[in-house]
Amino acid sequence: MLAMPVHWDDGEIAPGLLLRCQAGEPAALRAFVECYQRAVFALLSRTIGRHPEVEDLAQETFLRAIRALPTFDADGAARLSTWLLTIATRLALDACRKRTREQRPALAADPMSASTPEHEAQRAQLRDAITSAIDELPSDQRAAFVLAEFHGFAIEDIATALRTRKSTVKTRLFRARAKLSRALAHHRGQAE
Amino acid sequence: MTRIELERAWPAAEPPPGFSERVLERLQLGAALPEPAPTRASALGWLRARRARWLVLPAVALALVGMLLLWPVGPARVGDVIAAEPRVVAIGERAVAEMSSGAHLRWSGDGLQQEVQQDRGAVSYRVLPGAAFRVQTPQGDVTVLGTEFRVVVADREQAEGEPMKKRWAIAGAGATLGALLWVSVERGSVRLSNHEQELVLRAGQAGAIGSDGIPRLEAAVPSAPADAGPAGGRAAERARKRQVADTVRRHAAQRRAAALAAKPASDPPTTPPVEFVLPKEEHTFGPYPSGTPAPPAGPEEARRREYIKRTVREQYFPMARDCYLELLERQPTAGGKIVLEFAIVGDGDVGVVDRVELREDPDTIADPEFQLCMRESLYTAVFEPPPPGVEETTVVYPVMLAPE
Repeated sequence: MLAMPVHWDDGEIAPGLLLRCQAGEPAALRAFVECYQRAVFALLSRTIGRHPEVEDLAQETFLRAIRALPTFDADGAARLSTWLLTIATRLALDACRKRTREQRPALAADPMSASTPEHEAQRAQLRDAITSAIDELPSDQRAAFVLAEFHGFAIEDIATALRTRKSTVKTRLFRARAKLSRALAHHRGQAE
Repeated sequence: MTRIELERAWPAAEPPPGFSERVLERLQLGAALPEPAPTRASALGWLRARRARWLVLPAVALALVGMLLLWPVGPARVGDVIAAEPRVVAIGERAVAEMSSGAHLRWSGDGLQQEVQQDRGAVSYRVLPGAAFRVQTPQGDVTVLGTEFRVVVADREQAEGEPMKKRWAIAGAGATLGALLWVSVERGSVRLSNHEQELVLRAGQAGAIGSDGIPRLEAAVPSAPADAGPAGGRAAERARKRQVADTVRRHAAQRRAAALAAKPASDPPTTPPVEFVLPKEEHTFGPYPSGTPAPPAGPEEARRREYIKRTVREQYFPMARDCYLELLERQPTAGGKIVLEFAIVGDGDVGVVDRVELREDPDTIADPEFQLCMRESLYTAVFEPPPPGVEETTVVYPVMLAPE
């Protein structure tokens, strides 16, 4: 067990724990991984799809982060989670680029819980509509959308993560949201 | 559609059981982490164990999971470390010390108070507020009132000698030659005292205690204002490094000129300069520089090649990365190659960079400010001196730079 709080008030690991991570203490590094692993898996699986490669990329994300942790400025402007998810995003986009066109990401394949067969059917249709729309998004648009909608990244942070301009991020987000809106509108039209 | 609805419609993968253990196992197998701090008594055994690491890796990997479950609470509150090379150690639960080669630290304390004894060398400290933290040196004490500061302690016998002047130059521009204790504050504040007189130093200030034992304010050290963004901080850091580089370069030039003037005309010719081309493979800069060993030609040459590569990676790459990040801010798609050619000359008990040039290459990044930043940053690196009889070692170091 660790002697100090793992989480700080803002959801990041406590500053003292970060110092111990920077010194390479195994127990602290384990706590660091456990603190952020859900967010990293969520980002990777939504960006590249539910693929066996997700765990490999998640491991690589943490290994790179841990090696670079001594250079992370705890007093700087960047949050640790933003920094970590930026590493994950870049790895995910690299993986997307390496894939062949035939290997489209298999998104959201898990069945969702539903109380009744009717609800289940409706949700499955909704899921399929969203999945289909997301599947059509280019990886850069999908990454921007995931970072903004699921991880609360500001436009500036997304621009840093994707190494592009803020105006480009805004365009990508606009297009991604427009495509999803169209897909949902189409789905609702069919349901009615 | 709300975020909750979106999350339900687009569920994410959950981390599989045992994920964190697998990450740490991979770290153990190929890690480039700061090594856990050995005590002085255990350092020899630790080095021996390191040689046999590959023999015991399977056992270590198996034992790791169990060790993690039983790991003691927090880092050592008592320790004694001599840094054979630059290293980072955790001091108690609220501080990290970045030790330069040769620095010696002993520390003890509890969660409320930490006492550190630094009898020599240069150490940068980062300390979290909330508990007392004091660094005791032979010349005086530094009591932490804030967070980040650097302490350099001289040997009294060496304080006026050439090696110590070199170390002061490395410690920071503006350091007084002949001072026995020198402290600079990056953030927060510290109290510098000799038990009778005291001086409070705030961020951006430096102080020293000389042979008279009196704490005095030194020339200010450039520091980023509190509200400066990352770019402002980097600019201030670059300004400081350039001052250090200038000091080192001036001093090295004076040393060489003095040595040349003192050399008798009948001196036999020295061994021709040695030239290394390092590394044969290209180095790629992303946020995380990767390095692999170059093929050795002979045991000593191979050791020196590896030493120079490692030193460049450790001391120069972080600054070069800052240069590249600044370039990317101006030119977001900039990429290419920089082929550095530099000479290492002896200066007392260390080797310093005497000149840095860029070799012509069709892929060279042509940005003048970037090139200046890359050249200037290299002057701050410190190496072992060239072998006896060798005037200088020339190193050619190609570096590839590309956005990740």
